[in-house]
Amino acid sequence: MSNPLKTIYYFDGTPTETREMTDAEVLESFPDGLDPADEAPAPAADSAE
Amino acid sequence: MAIKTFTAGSILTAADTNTFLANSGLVYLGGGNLSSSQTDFLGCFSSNYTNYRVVVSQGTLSAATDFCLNFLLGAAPVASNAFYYGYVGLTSGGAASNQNGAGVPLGRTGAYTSSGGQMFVLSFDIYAPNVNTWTRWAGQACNQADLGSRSGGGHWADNTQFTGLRLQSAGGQTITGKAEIYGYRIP
Repeated sequence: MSNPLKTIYYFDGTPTETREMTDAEVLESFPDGLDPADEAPAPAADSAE
Repeated sequence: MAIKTFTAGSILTAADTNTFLANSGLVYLGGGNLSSSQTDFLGCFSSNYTNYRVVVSQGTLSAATDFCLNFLLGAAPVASNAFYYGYVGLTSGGAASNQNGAGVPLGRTGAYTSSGGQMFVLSFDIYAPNVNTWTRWAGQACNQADLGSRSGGGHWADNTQFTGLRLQSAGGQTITGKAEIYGYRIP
């Protein structure tokens, strides 16, 4: 299961960054927890061609 | 300051231009598209401006939830239940949709959805976030949810000189839209 994405805009000229949130950031950011209906689905397993 | 009136044939000098620039109102500082569950604007608050305006347009959330705010010191919020807010809301059908919170770790903006994809627009002013005093905000949101609106604001009830702003959903829902941050030029 993936964590939500976060985007960071820097006002000092550093390039914009978008990445998956860490577990610690999720705990800090969503005090009521993640909405289970909106969590990203697990990626499908690779299938043999 | 007296505003100079130009007439046909008048010459716009460097001094005139500088005067108008120095007395302009809102100054665009930065912003960007919202496409994640959380967006940080690091370094948007400084001593260059005391008060700020945030405009969010074409906002959506991927499921029913609230569009929230937090203030950042460096790259992270201050861990404290210091948010207090209250919004008066009214649906287009005349029902109340008020919202409040006291002593909580995350602020609200008045924007919300009752299902995924509903649009909202939002603007609010933030007062003295980079001053060693309480930070306060006030604004209004027009929500497709209930086809109504909410107006209100809140406080960060502690003396903190914040340097950044965070916009996020309440529970990890994905946001789309655009945010712009302006500074009120100090006369």
